[in-house]
Amino acid sequence: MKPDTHRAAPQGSPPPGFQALFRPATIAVAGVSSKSAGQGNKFIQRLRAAGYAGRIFPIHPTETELEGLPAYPSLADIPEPIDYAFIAIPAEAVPPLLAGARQRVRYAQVMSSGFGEGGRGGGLRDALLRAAQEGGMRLLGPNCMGIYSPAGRVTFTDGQMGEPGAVGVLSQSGGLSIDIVRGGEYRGLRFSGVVSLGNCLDVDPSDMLRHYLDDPGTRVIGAYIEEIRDGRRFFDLLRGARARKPIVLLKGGRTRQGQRAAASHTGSLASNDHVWRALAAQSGSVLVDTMEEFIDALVALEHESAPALAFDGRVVLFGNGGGASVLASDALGRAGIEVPQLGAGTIDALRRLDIPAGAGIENPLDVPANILERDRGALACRMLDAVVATEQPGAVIMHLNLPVIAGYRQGELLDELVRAAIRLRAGLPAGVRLWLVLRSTGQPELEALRQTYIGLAMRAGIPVFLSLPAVAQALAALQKYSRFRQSRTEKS
Amino acid sequence: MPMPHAAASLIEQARRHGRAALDEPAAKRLLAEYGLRVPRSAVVPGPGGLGAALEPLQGPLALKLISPDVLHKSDFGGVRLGLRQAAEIEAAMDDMAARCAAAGYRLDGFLLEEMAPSGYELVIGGFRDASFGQVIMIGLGGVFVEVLRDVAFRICPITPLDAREMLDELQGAALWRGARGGVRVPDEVLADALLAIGGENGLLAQCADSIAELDINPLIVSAQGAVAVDARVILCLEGEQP
Repeated sequence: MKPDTHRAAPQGSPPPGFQALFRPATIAVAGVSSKSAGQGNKFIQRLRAAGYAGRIFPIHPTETELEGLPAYPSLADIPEPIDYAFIAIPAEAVPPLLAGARQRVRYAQVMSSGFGEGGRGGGLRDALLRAAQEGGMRLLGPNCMGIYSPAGRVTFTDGQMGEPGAVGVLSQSGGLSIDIVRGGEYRGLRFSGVVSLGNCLDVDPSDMLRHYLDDPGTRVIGAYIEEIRDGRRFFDLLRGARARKPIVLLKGGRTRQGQRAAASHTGSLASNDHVWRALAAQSGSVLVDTMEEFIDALVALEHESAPALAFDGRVVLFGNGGGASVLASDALGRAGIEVPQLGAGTIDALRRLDIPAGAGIENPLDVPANILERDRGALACRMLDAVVATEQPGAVIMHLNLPVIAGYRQGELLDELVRAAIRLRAGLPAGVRLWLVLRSTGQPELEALRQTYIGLAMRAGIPVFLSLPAVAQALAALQKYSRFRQSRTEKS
Repeated sequence: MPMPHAAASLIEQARRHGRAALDEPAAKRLLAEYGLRVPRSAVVPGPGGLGAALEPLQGPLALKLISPDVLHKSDFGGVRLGLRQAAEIEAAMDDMAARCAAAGYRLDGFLLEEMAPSGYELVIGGFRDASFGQVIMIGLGGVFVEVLRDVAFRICPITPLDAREMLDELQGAALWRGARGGVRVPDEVLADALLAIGGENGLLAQCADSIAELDINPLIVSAQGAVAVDARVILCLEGEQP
């Protein structure tokens, strides 16, 4: 890649703030048809459904009104400067459209493909870059879905939009960016933005990473990466950030065998996976292998940004299900997380609570549902208070088996326990975390309950997970992150 | 970060001769420029040229063939260890020279080296990644590194903390840390070697555009320190530099 074609912005221009991209006041849309079938039509319909409050300007060579809005033949003909142009027209028509923008468009997102993917259309790719430069805009894509911004009410997915939040994501796959929005919102994540970057001709992962690092509204950052051309810049940015915000990386294509022809032992051993693991170790980023782990890590780390509180790797496990507790202890042990024995002081305190036989007073605290139910959940609360006061663990993991708990008093017990957890969290000493696991066996009525309480707990700042093994992995990620922060903030 | 003059001229010289790699004596001079210990040595042109070269060296000695056409010296029988007498050294040289000639390989000379004290065999390596630039590796096992795959990588330049964490990543760190009563070697010995190669002013940072691949294999580590016993430096093709 030639460095002179990397960035469309003129040299010496101020660092691009991406705020206007996430909250555009004006949007131009190319690819709208009078027959209401184009991607542009869909985009406008989604903007309206999401309650987008800015002004929308369809672009069409001949039509004068589309989707009930006045249409304009070119970007330069629109009476107002454009924050965000959505482009979904055939590839060969894109460069002339952008080139004629006369510096009146800030960001152009090109959804169209045909700019060099799969080795075809290389000439058009160069023309696109030149056109963006001539038109004076930053370019997203091509071949990308664009942005999802709950605060700006701009979206690339159908269905109800989520609430704004503090999770910022960039993705080099359009399809996976939809998975991240849908799967993430199911898990109670609230986004400051999700950006699908496509082929990254101009705006690249480093640009978006820098934006999220600087954006005061973003607390945790996620990135799905397939290929980074300027890895050096990405690495320097990450390392310079010293993980002051948690960064979760899902890197595709890591097992691909090395393309380099190796003449050395080192060269033949080195893989893409090694390099990315090195990057993660040096920057305190959390590198994950699957979409599920990606979302779990974002859930776990959203509340871990500055100031960094140490996590000592000790947890108290509390919940119903003896076998589940045993398996959970194994999973935690394998992940390097300690489930320590309770101290004598804690055991004395628990004895004084007059807990009925059937509940253990050792860690993991296996408390059957009929005991959780005592005093409408109040006994469970007193037990947790006592344990936290003397043990001061890095985290309390409260796990509830919905098929059992939901059967008590038409779901009232479940409600009481989740609300008790929320109350408990509000009074926790600094450095003690409370994480919730809502286990379910998949029946639709249980899933609906789970969805409700995930939302409730997550809004109260309690990370919620779907399984105990997932918690073990997320705790391991937290431990790595915490160790990095500790080692890098003391010195060096 | 500019290359020191001596390093630049070693690389320049190899390029001038159309070589894709530094020969072993040049590679070791390069390492020595960056503060890594290499065995005391002499380069002799061939049998008969031994003469005074032997005098400053303390036996037993290692004799190594220098040929740009022989990639794996030991496989070719281009390494002989434990030699003491001038006569046996000359005989070994005669034998290597004859096999070289028979195979049609170029013969640049011979490297005579003092043998390193015994110790743990490690590998320090490097390569230039197309996206991230220079990457450094440390691994356990010398010639068995590919079998054991006990390796740790970092993107250059590395900090002292990165170096210590690389060592922590190796399962085999327990060995030089004294597992089962073995000889203890302080971590600093290895960390210093890593920083000499991968640190801010290290070899890979300063010669970032010239070195495509690097093997220091084995690096023998003992209570006396770390010694680079063999080294290979593959150069970037000209025009391939960024």
